[in-house]
Amino acid sequence: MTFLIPLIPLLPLAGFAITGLLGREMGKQSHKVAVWAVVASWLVAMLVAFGALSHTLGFDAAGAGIKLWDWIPATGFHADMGFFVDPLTACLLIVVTTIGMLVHIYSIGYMAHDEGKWRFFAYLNLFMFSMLMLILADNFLLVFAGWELVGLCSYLLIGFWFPRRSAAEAAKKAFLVNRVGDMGFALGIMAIWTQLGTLNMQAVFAKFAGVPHEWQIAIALLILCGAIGKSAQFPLHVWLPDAMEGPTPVSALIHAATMVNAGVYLIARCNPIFGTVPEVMVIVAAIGIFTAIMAASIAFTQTDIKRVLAYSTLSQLGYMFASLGVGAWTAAIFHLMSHGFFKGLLFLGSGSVIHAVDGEQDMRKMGGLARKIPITYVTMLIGSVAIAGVPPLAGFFSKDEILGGAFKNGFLWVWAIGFVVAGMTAFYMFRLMGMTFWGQSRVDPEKEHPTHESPPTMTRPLILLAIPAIFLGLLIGFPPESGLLHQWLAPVFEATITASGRTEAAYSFFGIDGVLAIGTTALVAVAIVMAWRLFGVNMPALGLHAEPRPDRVRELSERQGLAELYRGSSHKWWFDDLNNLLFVVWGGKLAAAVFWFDRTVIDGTVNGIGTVTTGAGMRLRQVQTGRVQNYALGIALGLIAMAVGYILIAVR
Amino acid sequence: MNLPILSLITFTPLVGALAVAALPSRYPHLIRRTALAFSLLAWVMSLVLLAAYAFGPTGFQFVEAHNWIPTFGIRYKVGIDGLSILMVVLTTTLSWISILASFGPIKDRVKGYMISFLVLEVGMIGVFLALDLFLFYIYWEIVLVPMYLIIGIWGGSNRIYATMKFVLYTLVGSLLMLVAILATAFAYQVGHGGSWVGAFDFQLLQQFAASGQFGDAFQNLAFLALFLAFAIKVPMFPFHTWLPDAHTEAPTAGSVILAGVLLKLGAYGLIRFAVPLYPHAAHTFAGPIIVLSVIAIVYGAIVSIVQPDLKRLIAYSSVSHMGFVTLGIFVFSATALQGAILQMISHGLITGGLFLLVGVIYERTHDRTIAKMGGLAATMPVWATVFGFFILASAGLPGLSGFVGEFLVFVGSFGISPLIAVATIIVMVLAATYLLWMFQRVAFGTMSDFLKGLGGHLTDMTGTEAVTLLPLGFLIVVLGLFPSLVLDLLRAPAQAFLAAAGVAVGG
Amino acid sequence: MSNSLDSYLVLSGLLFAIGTFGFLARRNAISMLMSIELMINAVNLTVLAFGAFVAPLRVHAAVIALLVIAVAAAEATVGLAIVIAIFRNKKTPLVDEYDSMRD
Repeated sequence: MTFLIPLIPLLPLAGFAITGLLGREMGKQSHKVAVWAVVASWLVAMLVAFGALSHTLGFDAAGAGIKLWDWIPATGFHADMGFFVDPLTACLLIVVTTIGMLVHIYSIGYMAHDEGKWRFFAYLNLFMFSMLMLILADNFLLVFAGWELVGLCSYLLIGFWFPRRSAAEAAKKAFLVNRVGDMGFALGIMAIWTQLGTLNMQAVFAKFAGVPHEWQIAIALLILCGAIGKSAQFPLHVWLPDAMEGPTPVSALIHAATMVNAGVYLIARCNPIFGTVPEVMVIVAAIGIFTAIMAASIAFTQTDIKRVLAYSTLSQLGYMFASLGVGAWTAAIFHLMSHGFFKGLLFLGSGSVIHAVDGEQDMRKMGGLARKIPITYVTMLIGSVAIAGVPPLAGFFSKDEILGGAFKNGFLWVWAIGFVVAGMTAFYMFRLMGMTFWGQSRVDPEKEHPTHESPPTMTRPLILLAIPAIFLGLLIGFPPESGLLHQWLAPVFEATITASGRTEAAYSFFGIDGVLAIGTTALVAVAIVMAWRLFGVNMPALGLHAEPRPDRVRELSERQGLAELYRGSSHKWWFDDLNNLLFVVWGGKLAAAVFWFDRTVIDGTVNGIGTVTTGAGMRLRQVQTGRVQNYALGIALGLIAMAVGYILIAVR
Repeated sequence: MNLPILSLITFTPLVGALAVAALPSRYPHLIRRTALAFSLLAWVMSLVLLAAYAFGPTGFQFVEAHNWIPTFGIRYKVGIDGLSILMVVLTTTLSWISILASFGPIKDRVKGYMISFLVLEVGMIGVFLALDLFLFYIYWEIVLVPMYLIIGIWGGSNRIYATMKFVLYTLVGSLLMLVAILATAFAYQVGHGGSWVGAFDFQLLQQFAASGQFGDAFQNLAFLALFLAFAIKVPMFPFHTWLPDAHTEAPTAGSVILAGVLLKLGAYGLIRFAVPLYPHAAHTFAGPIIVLSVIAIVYGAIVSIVQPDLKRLIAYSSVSHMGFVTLGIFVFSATALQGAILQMISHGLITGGLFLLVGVIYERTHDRTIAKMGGLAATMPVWATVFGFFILASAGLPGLSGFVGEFLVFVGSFGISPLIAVATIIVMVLAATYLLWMFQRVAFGTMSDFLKGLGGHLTDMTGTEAVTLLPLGFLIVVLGLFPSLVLDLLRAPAQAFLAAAGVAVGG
Repeated sequence: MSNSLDSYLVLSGLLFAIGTFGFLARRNAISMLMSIELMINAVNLTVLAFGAFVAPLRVHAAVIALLVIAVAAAEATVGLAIVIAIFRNKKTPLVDEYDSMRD
């Protein structure tokens, strides 16, 4: 059934082409082709994923691929256009196509009144194509192609409302920061080719042990560079919060559930490469866990509902990186999948909230929305509980596996920070819930009246996403460390884990694992209660009620010692200002200086030669008086000189 | 088949020029259509040639040779290999596109313009076909004259300065080239006991060079002279300053041809003549040339960021992109060379398209200042979409032709020395910076007051304008997805080049 | 000395020098034309003197001298015509006013 694989990306591509070319004429129906293309792609992807995970339909444990054509057959370089599906790809396929499909459906309602709806769906389809190509590619160059194309789609979609200056700026920033990472990735691909003479991933992994160690480190670091850019890890994290300028479905699909996972996927995919360089793995873990705590600390103080979620995404991606870094590969993919679903849910929910209050994104102007938009409220509550890590929802299992992996693989510092971040996550999520749904309404009186629940095309995807947010963990992650997902992914990671010598002891709830899980859960509970007490709660069904206490919040934020932290957090630790100074101000000055050099020195030399020549000509033309007699005098003098010369020579 | 197809292709535009000359100038429409018809005819013939060309074997095909000035062994000798046929097809394609694109903008002296353009096409095709150094030189100079007229007569306000700079710069180079050619022929004649037979014949000269009979000191001098001529045309840093001026002042079609074909003449000369004839010198100077290329790539990109004028920006980006070509040539790697040639073609397509698109805007606003634009995506959505496509192609988006060329150059250079690639890779970010920033300022945001003042004049692209861009966009996509179409043609020339340069062909 | 080649050459040298001086020093275009005639005739005298004293040159000298006379006549005609044309334009016979060649 491998011949079905190309259909998965090609269907959205066809949808893009049709919608892009004819969408304008289709008017209100312009979403039809795009949505059906993605639904069809989802069906095929499910079939393929089923085959790859159950090792039927022509797939075996190592996966199966299909080569379409020789893409770049140069002398001394070769890259194919080919796809490859193994269990890891299959997991990603499930996440990408499912969330992609739901976001498409959701967008029908969300974008219904936008003039550029057809454009939006065309871009979304192009994104699906690119993302699917990225995960299906069988060689690094094709991954890179998908890598760049998703960056492009992200650019187009962030800048979708292009008349808004901030949107255009954010789009450019996202693309450029991504490109910084891509530089590293591109160099990594070149290094792989030079060292191994192939870019096919399976071939590279098979031969990688033979590469000199310094090159192994270089290649791993360069690939990491790309992954950091795409997954918005420190120090290239600055683009993701700004990317929230795009329409909310885009934030859900690209900047939460799929594209930003590409970096995690790439490192997981390259586990045979990273497995050979433990020193780089430590860097991965450090970057990940640092990003996790830094982003969580910023999420504490943001007031834009989407930005809170964006920093939360950064933080969760940091978890995944940390998980990869400590060698808990499966846990990273597990978290990737569960995070994809509940963060997609949260973003779509926030979109529904924004839709309800007529475009307002500031949580200080929300509050008390629970009664007005009940479906959105309930689904978002499920998402928040899931991400906070309350058992038995999806986030609990995946986060628990990450922390457990870090602890048991000897990365105590990663575990310690991750433990703290788990509490922080619960706190800021319930801060968000409190400010948005509970307490008194602070909505603008003019917008108060029309506040209404979103149409079914928007709420149904929320309900559909809430289901995996609740059950995914139980379904594929239970029992812990030997659930379905572990069985699926064992062929992908087994060799690397065995080689690293970190074969974990079996999970024992009545041993260290249980202690860790209970400890984390206790911290999460405390954090949630703290959030309730500060920002309010109102769940009559559970008999919970607390009014928000803004005065207490203000007092805390001004207290000695906390005030500095508060300031740093609300200024996002000044990363944007630093980048602005470094690249916009100084970079601009450098460019201006180089241009000055070009005009004055280089072009100046050229024009200088011209000026000297014309100047000399102007001087010399003074000799030409225009008077015949002067010329004749010259002739006569010349004759005399010749005669004298002749005589002198003749005499000698 | 003994049809002299190469000569037919070369002189079809000349016949066209004569035909146009015979038409009375009061029928500008007829003149335009006649010119277009002949350029299309040349294009079709070049496609036929491409179809008839035998892939695979090394060496030249369809060779025609006739005595011309037998006293000095000068012959009319033309022939093609995989490299030159690609360049000829590129030339004929861009020629008819340029002529079509001139239908609207050129309203004065249409007759003279069309004649100039057709003669220009003769010269350009001739350069790529000539296998006799003297003939090559003649065609090289023929190119100069019509371009001089096109910029000088139909150009912008500062056109005289620009043309003088362009002509003087190029003339300095071509005179040095003439000296080098004569010296080479003379050395050959001396080496053959005073017989001039074959002294200008490229193939014989190359055999002579391959047997190592040009002395090292002579090679260095001759190579430098030839290199300077070609480097000015490419243009390489630091001989590039004529380019922004010429581009800014030239009419749209002039810019298209200038960027699309004229810059390629220099690169073609380096690949065809400078390196194979003086391999030892080429190796001697390869290091400095690589450094200059790397500087050009990064420098051109940095300077592009701060350009206030659309055309100037694209001109500086050309300096950056053409840096890849010279880099690819002088690292002496088959991969990089193929990448360089692919880059030549895709730069011709992409930059040609960009100039056409700027022309569309100029036609409506009579301005190219970036700061005065804004919000065009709302007013001219089709134009903005196409412009965005070419911008992305220029930024090296995978799946489009620019990426393949640049990446092959990167990989080839990385294999020679990772340092080169590391020093150059920053251009990935810089190119995206200047292109996207420009695009953002032109297309995004709200409409500027300047544009609002134009009111109804700001219409979207017309059908003719779309027709000129369609083939370019199509080729960019096709070459991005199936670069083998070009790479297969280049395998033999790349091997021949490396063999002539005395480098073992890898992989 | 009276009947030697040298005396003829000295004479014609003197005549040529006078002509040259006249051409360089006089400002009147007509006088300059006359000076040119003087120089031509000085040369002609040299030619004839050589013809008279060097036997193998006798025939050639006569032919050359005749040719020179003819050319001188033509030159005088054309020159005078030009001078008069210029005079009509510039309203002056003085050559230092004629400097339009400068531009």
